[in-house]
This record gives sequence, structure tokens and C-alpha cells, in this order.
Amino acid sequence: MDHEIRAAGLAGNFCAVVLELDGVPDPERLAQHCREFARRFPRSVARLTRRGRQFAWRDEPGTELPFHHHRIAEPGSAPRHREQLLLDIVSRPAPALEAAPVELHLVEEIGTSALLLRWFHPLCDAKGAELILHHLFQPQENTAPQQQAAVEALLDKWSLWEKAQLAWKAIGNIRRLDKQASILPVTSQPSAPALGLKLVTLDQDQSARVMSQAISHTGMTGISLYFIGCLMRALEHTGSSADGDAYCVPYAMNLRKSKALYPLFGNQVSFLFAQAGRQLVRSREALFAHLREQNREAIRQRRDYAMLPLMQLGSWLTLDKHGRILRDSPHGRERSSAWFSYTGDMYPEPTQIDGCAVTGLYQLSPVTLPPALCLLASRCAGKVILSYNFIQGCFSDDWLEALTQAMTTELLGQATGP
Amino acid sequence: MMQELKSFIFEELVFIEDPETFSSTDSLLEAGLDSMGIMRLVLFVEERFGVSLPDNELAPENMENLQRLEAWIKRHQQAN
Repeated sequence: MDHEIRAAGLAGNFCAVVLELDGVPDPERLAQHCREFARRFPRSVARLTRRGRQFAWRDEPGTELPFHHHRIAEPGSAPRHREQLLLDIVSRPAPALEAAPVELHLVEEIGTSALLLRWFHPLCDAKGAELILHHLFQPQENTAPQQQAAVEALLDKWSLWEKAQLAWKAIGNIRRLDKQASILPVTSQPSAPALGLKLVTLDQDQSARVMSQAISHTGMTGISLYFIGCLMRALEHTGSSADGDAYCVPYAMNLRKSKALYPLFGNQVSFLFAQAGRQLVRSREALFAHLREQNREAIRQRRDYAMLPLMQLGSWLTLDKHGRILRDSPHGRERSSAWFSYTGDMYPEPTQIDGCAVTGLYQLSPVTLPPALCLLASRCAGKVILSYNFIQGCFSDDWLEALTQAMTTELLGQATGP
Repeated sequence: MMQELKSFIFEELVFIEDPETFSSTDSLLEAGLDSMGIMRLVLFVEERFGVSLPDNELAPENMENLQRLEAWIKRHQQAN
């Protein structure tokens, strides 16, 4: 997807986790944390290297984990907007084979700060990035156990025959999905693509109501599905393309054991697609029942595992071809109506960083064009935070405002109508 | 049955330092059993013990700990 994202005109698959702090930690101590982390986890300072059509990580002993200190409001200078600086940091281009896979940035304002961990997606996933943040500030753990990535472990466990069966199942599932053309948000063609960000933070009462609605509508096993269903309805309400049969939203399945602090790196996720026709999306109750049953059936049929051998096979293709297969239906149409991720509660929950309390947490991610829109949902300190990431110029401010309002209304269960 | 459930949960779904010290009344949800874990656990139970667990009974009171989980499964085994 890094290749695909660069083709859309963005810097690459550089993502970020951001912690908002109620103070400013000592930059020297943060730099020391980075040095210790790089010593304990050499992979964090490796570089991507190409071996034919495959990629691998090349250790770079002695390389530092970059730490940067930014100040927004300096005496005598014009104040800069924090969100724009965070976007600038995430969007700073770097060639894939030279990019530092992990960087730590402290963005200091007067009395508060934001800590941004920028990570290069091939190195790890969003949960891996959260674990990196945990281990960065846990110096008492001196040794890091070697652990195989969950996806590698599964692929090693399966015989060739089992992998072939699963891959065939995945192909069948994708063919079924592609019978319905995906509805896409209506976009303009941007002249100079850049990543945009709109954050919506729900207060604790609102957040508790959202989680209660989620359990009520999609059950204990479907929190992500509740957010996806609400997003589908918000897109339908705000206005999407007239052509297309169904909304289709991919979502990740974390294959790590819950509460595991390792492994950090490597591929630990598979993914599924939530799909629902326009008519179904217009009925809230019917939609959630459908998504719940669709997910349950997918897990029962092992469709989440089925994607893994297919992804392994895909790694032997050219990047162009692999990208097209991941994204497009056989008719050349983008499969995803929007990108989505719900990372839930960060574990272990970071309550403080070097004496500064954590007051918020959210994620940033680039996205391909189409769909040009990505929603990342997190929970921290009892608050749900919605991070809307989009390609600037593709949507008007009014449309984005309408979408976020519609999404919040749906999440709170306050939408009128069916 | 309880030992099989415990083995599956701590080998496949949830990481804890020492599963041997986890009692039948300790909270599975607080130990880290999340929504995906619950889904996989239900499918394991249905395949291993030949029961069908209704979606509308997937609630904390039936999954809170190993004791309640076992009781829930046995109710459905008897019903079948």
C-alpha cells in the first residue's frame, strides 16, 4: 500500500500515533529513551531493502532512532497550528529504502505538548506502534524476547494444501464481494494532494453512550462493526456517488493474543470486508444485524485466515499488480468505500509520559485515492476520538463537516428515521 | 471441559504471565478477552462441544469467567 499511497501523490505509508500531554516532558530524557529503545530493538532502526520482488529489513547497527523537538509558539514568531505541524511531520517524504521506520517527535506549545510516533507501515501495524510507545517508556525491561510475527507463524504452521484451500476460499469471497460495485464518496481531483485531518473528540458521557449503543446493536463481538455501520450510514446521509451498489469497508483483524506485549514488528493482521447494499444501509436495525451476521459467518468460514496465503502469494507480484489486486475489482473499480480502523483501548493504557498526564490519543494514516477518506477510531481516558484523515482538495469543508456531524449523530443513536 | 476452555483461551486468545494461577472465578474480560477473542472462543466451543450458542446470549454474565462459561455451555448441551 506504500506504493499505492505514493501513486496518489502522498509521501508514503507513514502513519502516526499521537499522545496529547498536559505538560512538556524533558526532551533530553525523550532522546535517551530513543537511544535505549534502539539498543533493545535493533529492528526499529533497520532499513527496508529489496531482494528481487521481495522486501526485507536490513539491520543498521549504530543508527539512531530519530528524535525531533518542535516548538509551535516561540517568542516573537507567528504561532503555528498544531494539527498542521503534525500533518507536516507525518507527510514529510522519504524514499522507502531510506526512510527511518520509527521516529519520535515532541511538539511543544506553552504548557502542553503532543508526542507523535511516526512509523512506516511495513515495519508494524497500529497495535505494534502502540506497543513501541509502551516499550519506549519502560526502560526496566532490559531484554526483548524474540517472537515470530503472528502471520508468519500461521503461514509456517499450514501445509501447502491447507494454504491452497484457504487462498481459494479468499478468492471466492472476493469474487462474491465484487459482484456489487462499491459506492465511493464523491471526490474532486486535487491539484496538489496532501493529507488532511479533522478530529472529533466525544466527552466521557457521549463515549459511554456510544459503547452502550455498540454493545446493544452489534454485541460484544462487534464494536468495530458498529463504527463501520455508522460510517456507512453517515456517508449515505451526507451524499456519496449515485452509482455503485454497496458500501464496502475493510477492517483489520489483530492476530496477536490480547494483552500481549510482544511481538512489536512484522505483520500481525489479516483483514475482512464489511459490505452492505444501499437499501440495507438505510435501515439502522437491519444494517447492524446484517453486519453482525456477516462477520460471524466470515469468522466461522475462516475468511480472515484465508486472506493470509493470498497476501503471501501477492508478495511475489510486482508492486503495481499487487496493489491493483488489493484495491480493485476485476472491472477496475476501487473496492473500498473508505478505510477504517478501530484500535479500541490502548494496552497498557498510557496514563503518563515522564510525569506528564496523557489527555488524549489518536492515530493518523494516509489513504489512497480513491477513496481518499480514512476514519481511525480510538479510546483513551474514557473518551472516543475520531480521526478523519483525507486527501485535501477531494472534499469540501462543508461536506466534511456534514459527514462528521452525521457520524456523531449515528454513533450516539440520535439519527431520526429508520 | 473447564481445562480445555482454559487451555484454548490462554494458548490462543489472551496473554497472561502464569495461566496456572488463573482461577475459575477470575474475570476473563478483565484478563483481556476482547471482541475478536469472544468470537473465536464461541466458534471453538461450538465445534468442540457440539452446541449452538445463541447470539443474543453473548453477554458478560455468560462469559465473565470460566465457571459461568462452562455453565452456559452445559445448559445448551442439555437443551440439545
